[in-house]
Amino acid sequence: MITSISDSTMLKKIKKQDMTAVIEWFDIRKSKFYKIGWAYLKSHHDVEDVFHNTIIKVNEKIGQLKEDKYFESWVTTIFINECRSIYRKRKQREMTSPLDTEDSTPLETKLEVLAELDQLDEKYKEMIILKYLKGYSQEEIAVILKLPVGTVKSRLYRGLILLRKIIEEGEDE
Amino acid sequence: MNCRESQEQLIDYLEGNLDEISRIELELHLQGCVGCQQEMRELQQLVAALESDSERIQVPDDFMKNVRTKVAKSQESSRKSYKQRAMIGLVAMLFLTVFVGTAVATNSFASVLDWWKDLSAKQDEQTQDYVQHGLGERLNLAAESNGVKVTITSVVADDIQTLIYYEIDDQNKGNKYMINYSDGLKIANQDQDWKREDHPAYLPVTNHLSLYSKTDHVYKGRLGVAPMTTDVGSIQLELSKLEKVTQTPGDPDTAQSVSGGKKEFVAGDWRFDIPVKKHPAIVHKIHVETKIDGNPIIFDKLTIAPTITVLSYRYRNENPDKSMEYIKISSLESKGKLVYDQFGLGGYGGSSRYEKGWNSAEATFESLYFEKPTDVKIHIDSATFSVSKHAKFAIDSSKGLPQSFEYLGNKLTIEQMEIGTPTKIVMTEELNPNRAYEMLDYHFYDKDGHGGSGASINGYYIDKKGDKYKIGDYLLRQNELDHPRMFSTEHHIEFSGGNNVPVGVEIEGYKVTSFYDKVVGISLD
Repeated sequence: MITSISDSTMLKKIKKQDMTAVIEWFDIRKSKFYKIGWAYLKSHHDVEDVFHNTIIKVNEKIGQLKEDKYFESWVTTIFINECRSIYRKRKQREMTSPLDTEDSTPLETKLEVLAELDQLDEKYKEMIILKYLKGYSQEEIAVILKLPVGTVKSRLYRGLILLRKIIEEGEDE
Repeated sequence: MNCRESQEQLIDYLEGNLDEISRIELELHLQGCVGCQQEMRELQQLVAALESDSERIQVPDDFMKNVRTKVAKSQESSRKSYKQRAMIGLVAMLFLTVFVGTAVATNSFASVLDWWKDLSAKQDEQTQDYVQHGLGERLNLAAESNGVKVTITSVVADDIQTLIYYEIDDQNKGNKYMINYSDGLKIANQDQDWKREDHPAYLPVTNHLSLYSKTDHVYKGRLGVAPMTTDVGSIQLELSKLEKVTQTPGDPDTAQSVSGGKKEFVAGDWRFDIPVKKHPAIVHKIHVETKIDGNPIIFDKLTIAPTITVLSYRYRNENPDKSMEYIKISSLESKGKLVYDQFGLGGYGGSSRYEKGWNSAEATFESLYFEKPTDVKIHIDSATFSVSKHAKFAIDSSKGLPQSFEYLGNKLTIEQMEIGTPTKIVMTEELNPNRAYEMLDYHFYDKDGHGGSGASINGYYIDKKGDKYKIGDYLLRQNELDHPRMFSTEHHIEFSGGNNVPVGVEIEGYKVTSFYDKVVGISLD
């Protein structure tokens, strides 16, 4: 209850383009969003950029938010889009200069399942991250990614099956 | 239940989302089916592994601190563009004021009017060009409701944007109406045909331009829409209300009410299915480096679309005490022809961002599409720098207004303050020929040191010879001036935060412009 009250005052401030309030909002939820970002990009610096870009965009485009209740999913949509865009840019860079292997943190070697996520197609990867790392419901994911709930369900299933296959193949080698 | 049905429900089962009956049905199936049982167990393990991996991702200690620093840095560099926006708001007010009638109050208004007529005529010419070259469509889609007729006259679409030209005719001949794209406008097929970016509040319409119309009850305008994802399609435009244009020419009071939000509308129902054929832009990847004041600038891409030319570049600041905020690329030159900075008049206004120490930016120019340039000269006019020079001035609440203080030898005065939500403040600055700064970076704060403010700023351009020009008259045609520098003199500030009572103003620094007149040649393959 207290959170929701402070959330609504915070949202009021955010709507007045108060940058401090946007950052506060993210500070409270940093752990969840960091997980999404890290699972997506596996690079601490890239996640920093995603936070930065999302915060700037939220502050800039808050006028376009029509209903308060959509705020979090709206933010998550922007956040995911930023992950996507940095991921794609990095892919392009890697193709032109394949030696660029920065940020292979020790964490990566420990988290085996997450490490394999990168081999999945983006559409499955995002689904799994939002569901099992952020813990959104299928309905929330449907709103965030603008897909029918049925598609969310089938992609989750398909994604898990593919991921399992990738892991099995890895074990066989 | 068969295996396929069972698989469809596994995800919900793992989440505990199934109702009692479905759960029992599924469990019954699982008991009898080794394959599905195996699959279920494996998925369970996988989900558990994902969740345990997730638990182990920890946010590093300095993380939010670094994010804050980055945000602060890019806010710093976006102040310039914020200022531009404030100015554009002011010019938009001028537009609204000007187009209502032909009676014009002052000479400077007359010159703005001429310029505006010229701009509108150019838009007409350009549209004709598009149509002739098969890049645009002349349309005559009309819909009438409540005695108001809306006509879509033409449309041009490319990879950067779609421009829709329209006219609104009040059949009762009493009023002028315009489309307010943030109120009463809907695009029915936006979810299918635009990138899902920025959902759910996302609207593909991003800008609007008033065009001159010589008939009293006819309004002309242009909507700028983000590009569709498909090459051929249609825009299902639905209007449920139109905004009444209420200003009286030359009357600053009615002009103010525009920003005050007192808007009148006429309700109705106007629907259009606008056919759109998107024409590809020519994209040139380039890599040309130059330096300004020791800061590297890299030009990355030149996009030549039918409606606009976009130059993408990035720059890095090497000197933290004097950081480059804005590079003015005044024009591009191709085969002796110059195309000028569009200041957002071309629709798409360009984007900017800060990433890994580099500021990326886009400059927009008139189209070079028909020129098919093989090489282009980039004219870098000037750069504006932000210099840190801190000062803090308290407002003495026991004394009345005005209250003045001095910054770098120049007098600033807080003239008026009206506490409210938001609190409205008027602040003025002296403008002497030797003023050490052009514009200020400042903010008001409340007793806890918080608060946010937005401002509408007015002032003058001073050119090379020292002649003064009103900002409102020249903001969008700076290219007519020789080395203009923008000086602020008047600030209308809206302050909100805490108890809405500002107790002081803090100045972080100021802006100064240096001129370079540098020409960088690039060849396009």
